[in-house]
Amino acid sequence: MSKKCVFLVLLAFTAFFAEAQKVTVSGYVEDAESGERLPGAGVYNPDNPLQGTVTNNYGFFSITLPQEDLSLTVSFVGYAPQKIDFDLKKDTLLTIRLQAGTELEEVLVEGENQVKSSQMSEVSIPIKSILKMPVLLGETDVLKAVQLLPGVQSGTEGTGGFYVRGGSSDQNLILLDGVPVYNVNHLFGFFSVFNGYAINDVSLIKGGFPARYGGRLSSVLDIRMKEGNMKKIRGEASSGIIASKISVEGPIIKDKTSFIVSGRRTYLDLLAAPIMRLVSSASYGTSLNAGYFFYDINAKVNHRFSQRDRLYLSVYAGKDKAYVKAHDEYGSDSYNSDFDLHWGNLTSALRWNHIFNSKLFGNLTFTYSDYRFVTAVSDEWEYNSGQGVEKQEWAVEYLSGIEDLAIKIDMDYSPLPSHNIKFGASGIYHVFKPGVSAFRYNDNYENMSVDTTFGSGNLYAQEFAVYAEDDFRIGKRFKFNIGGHFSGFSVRDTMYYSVQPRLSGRFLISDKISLKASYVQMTQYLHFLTNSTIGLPTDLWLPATDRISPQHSEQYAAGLAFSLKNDLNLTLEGFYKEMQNLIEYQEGASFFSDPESGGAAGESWEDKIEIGRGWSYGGEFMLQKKYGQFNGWLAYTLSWTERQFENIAFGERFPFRYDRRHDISVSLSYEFNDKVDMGITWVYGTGNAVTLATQRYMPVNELANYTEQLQDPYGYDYYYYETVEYYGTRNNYRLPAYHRLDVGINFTKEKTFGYRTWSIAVYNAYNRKNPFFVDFRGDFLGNYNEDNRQLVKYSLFPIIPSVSYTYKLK
Amino acid sequence: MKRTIIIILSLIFSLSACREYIDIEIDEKEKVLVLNGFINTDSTVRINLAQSLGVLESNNNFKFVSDAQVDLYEDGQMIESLQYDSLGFYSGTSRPEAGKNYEIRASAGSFEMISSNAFIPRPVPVKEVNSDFTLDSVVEQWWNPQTQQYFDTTFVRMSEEGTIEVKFDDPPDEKNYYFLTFNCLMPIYKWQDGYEVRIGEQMVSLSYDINTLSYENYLYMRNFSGYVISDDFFNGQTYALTARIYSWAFSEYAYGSYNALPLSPIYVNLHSVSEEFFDFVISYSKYDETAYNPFAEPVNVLSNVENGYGFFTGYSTLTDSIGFN
Repeated sequence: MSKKCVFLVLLAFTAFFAEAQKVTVSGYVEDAESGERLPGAGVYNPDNPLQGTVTNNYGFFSITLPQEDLSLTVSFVGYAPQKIDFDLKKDTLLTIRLQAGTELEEVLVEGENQVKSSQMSEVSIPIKSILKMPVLLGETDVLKAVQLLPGVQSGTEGTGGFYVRGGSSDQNLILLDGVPVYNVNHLFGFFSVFNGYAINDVSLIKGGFPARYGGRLSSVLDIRMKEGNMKKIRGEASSGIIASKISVEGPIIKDKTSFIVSGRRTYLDLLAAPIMRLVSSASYGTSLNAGYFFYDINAKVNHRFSQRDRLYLSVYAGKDKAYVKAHDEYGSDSYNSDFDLHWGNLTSALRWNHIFNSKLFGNLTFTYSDYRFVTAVSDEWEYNSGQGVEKQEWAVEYLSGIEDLAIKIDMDYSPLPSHNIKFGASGIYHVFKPGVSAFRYNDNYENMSVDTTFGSGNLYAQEFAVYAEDDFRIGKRFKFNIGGHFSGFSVRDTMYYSVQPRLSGRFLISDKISLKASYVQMTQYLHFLTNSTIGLPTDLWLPATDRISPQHSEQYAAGLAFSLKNDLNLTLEGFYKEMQNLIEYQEGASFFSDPESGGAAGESWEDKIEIGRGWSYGGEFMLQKKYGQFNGWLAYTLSWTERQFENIAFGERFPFRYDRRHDISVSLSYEFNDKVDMGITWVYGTGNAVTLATQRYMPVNELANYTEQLQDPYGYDYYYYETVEYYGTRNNYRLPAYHRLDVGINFTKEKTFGYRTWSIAVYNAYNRKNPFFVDFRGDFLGNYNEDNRQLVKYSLFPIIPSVSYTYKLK
Repeated sequence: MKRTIIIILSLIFSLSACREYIDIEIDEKEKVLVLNGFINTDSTVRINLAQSLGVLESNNNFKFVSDAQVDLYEDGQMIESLQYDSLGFYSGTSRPEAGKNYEIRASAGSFEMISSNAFIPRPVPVKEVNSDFTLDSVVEQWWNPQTQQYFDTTFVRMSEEGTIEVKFDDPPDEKNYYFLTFNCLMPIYKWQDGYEVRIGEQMVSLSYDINTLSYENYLYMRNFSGYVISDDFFNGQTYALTARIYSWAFSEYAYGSYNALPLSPIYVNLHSVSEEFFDFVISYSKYDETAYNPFAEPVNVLSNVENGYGFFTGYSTLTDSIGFN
């Protein structure tokens, strides 16, 4: 190292520790009423804007200040700010409790934070706003709120799938209390697995990812569960058209241990039960029981050992189940048939927060998650062979899923007011279950018995990551977040490594306007195999292997953030993203392919995929007012997204299915008074790109059959033949534009023990028949007429009114 | 399971979905010529020309092309013009040779000229054919409407599934593709005065299975059905394919009738085909599999005709047979 370098390093160290004659104020900010920690609260010196910080995800802050008399203001949206005067002589550990109150001042802080933060491409939505949005069948859905944000494309109508800046749905890191959730869908995606009652905070990052995040290419959706009220028992329950939910929270030991439990279940199966009984009683000798339901449960316990130590245990369990049981009797014979399809997630996290010293906060987390999809079909036949009652039975079961066991340590180090350093490491043990089938057959009479399993074996992989980032300020105008994320993945004796630089910065043009830019590289070691356009549980999570490299992306973004009057925030951003090693089923291959033909259920799924690239670029605009009597946002996205695979669409670039030139969303909420509030959502999007035939012709094999028949010596006069459709490139047509208006109104009334709310909502208020899919052939069940071909559009959701009732304890 | 999921989705549809005919700006392309033809070393060249159909056009509008100029080229040299015979077919007098490349150039009316190439791979001899069949004689009573009496007639049938093992030496250091077909003769009958009269016989394809291959490799054509096989796993080796012949398939066509016809031999045809032929069969199977699933991405059937559609290829064949006494 040259002398010049040594000098520069020494200079940097000197500058870093030059402000050593200082003391540190650290601690937590929490809700005075419930004891819940408040992430994102501002802690700042009102006399010097350079002396300020924001609480982390666990409500912890640390700020180092000169040894002098000063005051700090602590504020958070929806709470009365608190001013604390200090005569600082030594490091101080505090717990600051804020009272819910007026909002105006905190709102200004929020707006300024957006402008002053080095983080760009991040949007958060207050859970209060999400709960008031009009929704399909009255079921609050976090993911459907996320779909309304700029840069986010929604998937198929009614489903919760979302696609961020041209990425695929698997490229979203969806964290529930820090644990990745692999399948976020109930009922084929029409509802998400997140129960609004259990959620505290939702934020989405689309670009400029800080180094602490990794493992996915396109977004981080961080959903934090409530912690549970430390002071008193609270609860709420609601009942809607298809589901009911309940949530209870409160102290186990006051101010020390709290809990929250939330549950939700649909009752389509219970409503259908009388119809099933009617069907059964109408057909002699047959009984039928069929249904579908889903449920989910969120539970969390947290315990304060001391001011420095806190332990959290959170669990989510959810399941979808569709079943058919039939019993037939013919004389002395009986026939039983069972079908069972279920899938679900279990996620759990055990987390320990510890304050090592006033500048160093640590968080150790153990997580376990298990997603599994199971389908089982069985038949049983009992009959009299003349020599006695014989029994023949067979059963097939298919299981796939992914199981993760992980450990993670995250540290926050705030050596100086101008530096906030985060570093940490994580390790994940993955078990991939790409699909195992079990087959059982027993026949008493034939004296035969088979019990076997076949399909893809489990794949085991280890993933690790270490990261470090420094969020630092240079002067008044410049702030940067510079970091690196280094990760590795081991599978089948193959090791992949990735170094991912993460850079983002802002230049403060004025107190109300900032210019931001970022450059990030992301690596994803997981792949997702799907060829359906809806969220089927059969979609498979698979690892990068020795033959299939990890996904990788580079993203550049730049934009402006404005803090306007009346709590209005405006962001304008442009982005360019390139993605490598994307996978897709080869043309025609699918989960439903015969195992021998190498569908995902077979042994050679790696032979049945294509590896390609993707591009996405565009601009986003968002005008948002988060709080107050009138709040909501207006978002517009202009974007282009393409894919390219060597053996798909003749190797040419083609539009991604969710390539939308224009996406507009408006979500507004207005509180008339304490009793009545109203919400409106309107969305517009360019139609999805779909593949439709451009011409038809008779292929050589059909031609041979056809001409043979024409010359058939039997002299048939009817010639049946089929043409094939020629599609050309993929996604060559645009469906008609999608637009929809939802309106909801809530009537709240105070009762003896709490508040009751009637919520009335109308989904698709002007009954727009948006295309779910289109087909040349005829109807969905395959009836078609080749002699009278028409393009048929199928719409899923017409105007759907809904009503729900909620009761919330005081 | 596929059906079950589709039933569940159908249920959702039945509760709320609606359908309507819509106008999407369909890019109605100009019609083009469709060339189809399998040429081989055992017969003279014959190809077919038809018109393509618009996506919304009725099948009733399907038309053969009868007024085209069709020229055949061998290794780049034009050797003859094919003459129209019937049903869109154009025939020549040349018999293709293995190891040569053939090109068809066709133009008709206002259609853009189309062209396509086919290479005829060299044939690979069948080294050995072994069969394992159990034949049974079955006596049945049949009704003779002329004599108004029942009579006894004896059939020879396969009592259960049989197997045919086909051995051949795959040429080393080159990529080879095969198409295996089994044929037998089927009597042709015609009803006359309430009585079946045999008017001749024709060659038909026998259905069969190969355990190691999926249906994706299967091409169904009248008189030309079978599996395509690549030498990926046996390049340069002696390879034995074992085909399972179903008794029903064989009996349907080939058993001796009450006219006491001899049991037809089974002809084993090992066709050497091109990689394009292999890809065509796979693409057609995939097309067929996804054609009725609105949630799957569709697949193009392989077409190798420039400025048009269709598939033109060539093959060479060596045949062995299994006789029955």
